[in-house]
Amino acid sequence: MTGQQWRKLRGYGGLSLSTLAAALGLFWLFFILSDVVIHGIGALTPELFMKDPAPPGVAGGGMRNAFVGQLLITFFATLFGVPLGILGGTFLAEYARGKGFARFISILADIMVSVPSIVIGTFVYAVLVRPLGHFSGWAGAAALALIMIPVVVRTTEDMLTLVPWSQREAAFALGAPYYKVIIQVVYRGAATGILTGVLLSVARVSGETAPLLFTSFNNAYYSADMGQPIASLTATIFQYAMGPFEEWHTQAWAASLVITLFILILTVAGRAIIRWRYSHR
Amino acid sequence: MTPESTLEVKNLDFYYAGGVHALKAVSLYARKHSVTALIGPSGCGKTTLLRCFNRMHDLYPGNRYEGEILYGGRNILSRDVDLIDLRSRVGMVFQKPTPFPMSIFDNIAYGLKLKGLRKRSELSERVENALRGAALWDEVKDQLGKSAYRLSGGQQQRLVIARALAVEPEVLLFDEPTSALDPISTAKIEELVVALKRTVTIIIVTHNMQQAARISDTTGFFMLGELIEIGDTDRIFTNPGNKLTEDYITGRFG
Repeated sequence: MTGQQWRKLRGYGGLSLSTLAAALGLFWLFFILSDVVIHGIGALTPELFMKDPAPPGVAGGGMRNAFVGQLLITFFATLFGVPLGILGGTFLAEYARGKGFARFISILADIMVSVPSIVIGTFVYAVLVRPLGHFSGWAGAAALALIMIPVVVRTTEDMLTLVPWSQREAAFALGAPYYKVIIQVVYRGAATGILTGVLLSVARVSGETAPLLFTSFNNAYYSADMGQPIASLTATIFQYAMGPFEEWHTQAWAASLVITLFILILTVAGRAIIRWRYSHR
Repeated sequence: MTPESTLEVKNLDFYYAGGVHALKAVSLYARKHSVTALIGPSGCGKTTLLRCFNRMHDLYPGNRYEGEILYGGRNILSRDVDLIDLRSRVGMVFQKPTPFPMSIFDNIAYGLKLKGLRKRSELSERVENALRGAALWDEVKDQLGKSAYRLSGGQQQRLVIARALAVEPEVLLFDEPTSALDPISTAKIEELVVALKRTVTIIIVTHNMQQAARISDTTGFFMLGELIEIGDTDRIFTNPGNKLTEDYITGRFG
């Protein structure tokens, strides 16, 4: 066998293996997604969104309380988590660049990203739920915000670091103060990456269950009061999936489908917004 | 200070944060409405000097100046100088083009907006004038709303020059502005520099001795942080007064 034939053979070998690996990953992805669609699509009726749960064992009813609760918790978690995360990442990348403690905080944030979310849940339980004496939507939002912050901090830091330093110098040379350099030049250059990080963090917390069980708990009734226990989709899915009623199982599938679609739409819409906003690049 | 000088460097020493003594007792002056070229081998301190004129070194802690740079009768190295004001009067163009991630129009308008200019009609006028001044208007007038990243490297460098011109600086500093460009773009920038000296005082750092000979009125030769010789460009390149200068410009080292 000549050297060239051997090279080609190895090339085909590598290509086949990587194609196979990709196919294997995609197979399970589509298997799971189609399973969710098949089981969930039947219960995906307007009633699911319009009605609150019927008493256990009684037919009908929906999950309006869980949708409202999920949206409220996620909204407030994003409201607190994203600005804090972006500011923290900005501090690390701009004002503390190259300093020892910045690297230390950065590593801590990396560890925080991979801390099991149930740990965050028990932490918030200890500092918010126990002292106040009851579960609440605010505690749930706080737990999710705590999960979001390190994700947003790290992506913001990385994205800002990618903006060439020469661009900052050019803005300084025009007489811009540092805060304007950051807001008007650096953020623009890093916007796509930062927004991607934000979307990822929202998607990540949308699927969290464990921290919510310790904080916002659950609520079988409709409540939009963040000061009280509040229903969430994930906690409801958990409860329904464990429950004995066929009706519950179907609704849990439907809710899973809705969360999956929500994350899909969020990602697609986010990318579309980025493309539209920065199409003149 | 002679009446025709704009910037006068007096006995300037510069130390980087690590302790490197990058400029040693440098004294020179740049004449108003002329092009002063700074040449010398890599690491000789010419860029370090250039970055003293707009106090870029202040962005990094630990750097230290000793001596004076007189500009408009004031020492711009003194602590109470308003750097934002100084930098809007002393513009800078870097080695690599540095367009901002925004439209061509917004790039040029950036410095003007920093100065508080908000009126759309006035902005448009100043942007057009700056682009004409940088010989870029005809090429971009129909795509002012497009991203500056769409331009070629040479166009981007002229865009950056236009951006610096828009705030009507009195001095423009060029740090090897053509080293990343092809010969045609280089020729355009060189023409532009010569044309600009009618309105601004220009100091340019270059590695290209032919470029210094072509476009500058005065040339200063640096080595190891010291100014070896400065004088009329014609004289420096035909009849250098110092053996080191002669060796450098004839290509015997460097």
